[in-house]
Amino acid sequence: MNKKDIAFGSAAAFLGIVLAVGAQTFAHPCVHADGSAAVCAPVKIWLTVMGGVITALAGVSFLRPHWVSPCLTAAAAILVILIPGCIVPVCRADTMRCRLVTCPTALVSGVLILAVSLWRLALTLNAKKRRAGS
Amino acid sequence: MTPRKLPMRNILRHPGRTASLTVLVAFLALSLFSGSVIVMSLMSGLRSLENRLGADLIVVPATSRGKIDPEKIYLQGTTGYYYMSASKLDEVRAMEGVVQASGQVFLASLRADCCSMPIQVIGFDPATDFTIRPWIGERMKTDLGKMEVAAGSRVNAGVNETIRIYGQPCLVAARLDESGTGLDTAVYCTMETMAELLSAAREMNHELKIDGDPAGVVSAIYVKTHPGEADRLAGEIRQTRSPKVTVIQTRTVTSDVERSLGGVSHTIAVLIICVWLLDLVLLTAAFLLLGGERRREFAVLRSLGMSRRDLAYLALKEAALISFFGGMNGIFLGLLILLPFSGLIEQALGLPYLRPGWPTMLALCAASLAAVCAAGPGAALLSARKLSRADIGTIMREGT
Repeated sequence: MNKKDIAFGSAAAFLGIVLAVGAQTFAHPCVHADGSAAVCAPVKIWLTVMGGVITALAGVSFLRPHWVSPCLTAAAAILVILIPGCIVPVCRADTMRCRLVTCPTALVSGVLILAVSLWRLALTLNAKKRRAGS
Repeated sequence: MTPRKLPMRNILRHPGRTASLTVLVAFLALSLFSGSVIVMSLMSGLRSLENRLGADLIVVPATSRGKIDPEKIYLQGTTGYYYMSASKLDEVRAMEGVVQASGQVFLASLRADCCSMPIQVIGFDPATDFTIRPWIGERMKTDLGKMEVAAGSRVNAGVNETIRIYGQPCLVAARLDESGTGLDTAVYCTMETMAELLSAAREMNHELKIDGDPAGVVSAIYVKTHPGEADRLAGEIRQTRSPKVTVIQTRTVTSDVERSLGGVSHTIAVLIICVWLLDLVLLTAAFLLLGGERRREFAVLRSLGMSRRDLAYLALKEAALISFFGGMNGIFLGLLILLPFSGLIEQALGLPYLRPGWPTMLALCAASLAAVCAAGPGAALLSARKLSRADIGTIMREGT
């Protein structure tokens, strides 16, 4: 495993952890004062699970670098972007916490994870092509 | 390989060095771009607030301050309601120095379900109004009909959608342009519709504290005065009794916002200057250190026939390319943070915040990139000068 694999794997793992921890802490969705569940509540679980999956994929890629791993990470990143709003409904009012914090956090994390995984995929495929050429 | 391709090859062959310099430059671009966007958004918000308030004076019942600060309705979109007799409007209209006066009625909707937050409903009189009508006129050529509403840009309801306020179906006839103020979270209707909604609210046992006919009340009176008459009129209106009123001078609201904005802009400007100074010092030091390490590389290139000018060009082009990539990354990161988090930034600042349009945003991107592309090679100038003027013989002997 080369330095690039370590760098990109670590970046993806870090972003996955930030997403999972964020969904539970600073970027949690709306909570009603009476403790009842808001319509956006499942976003918390979904984002935590996806954060875990991305971290696990990054861990697997440390053990066995392969083009499949960045592909799966990219797919997971797209899911992360789609979860709040498309897959799981969020609150309608623009002033709600889920719209102000949770959705933007998922979007920013998703875009960064997607960029990291696509870059890594390009490098992996490039290295594979070079090996095949030589 | 030609000397023209050498700078790009050098950058690609040293990913660690390139990445560190790119991060430094990205910080420059991020700070400049995001700082400029925030300051411009605040300035647009203030201008928008001035346009939207439209009146010189706003007269509200004195009891309103105990319930909700009326300024919060305009700035932060806090919902509230308070009423006084509509006869006050006629009283104000008859005063000397008043050009126009129009009443508005406020009503805060109930939270219908888990996610439908209370929204501010504002009723206005289309015959006399001079603040909301021009705004609605930008989106709708005809007047609002009975049980029709115009929704602020942050109310989640599309045109032709029906929203229920106190159980009454209201058709969204238009969506208003964003103003960057609390007024974006309100819906607007005519007095006729408002009377229906007030009756419905009463029927649902919502405590409105209105005695008698709901059609005979107003919450706020918007007054346009002759130039220079605002202070005198404000004093005159304050002295009247039954009911006791509070007079808000919109100039005071906007100058308060302007003062806060000045503070925020000043802080952002100081932060940008600090980040730039620190980053430029770091970049210059990094290029100088790198230059020291690359003396032999440059000496070899010189002995291979490259002129001093070519060597300076090589060092500067490398810096320019790194600045371009770093600048692009910084601006992308800035957009990635500022666009989705604009609502949170607005809420945190508590000031009118209206993001500039795309042409202005693109111009800001280009200006930030240009500034960074000038700063990078500028920081590398000293290093390039030293490298191109070094004596080959001395450098080659140093290594032996």
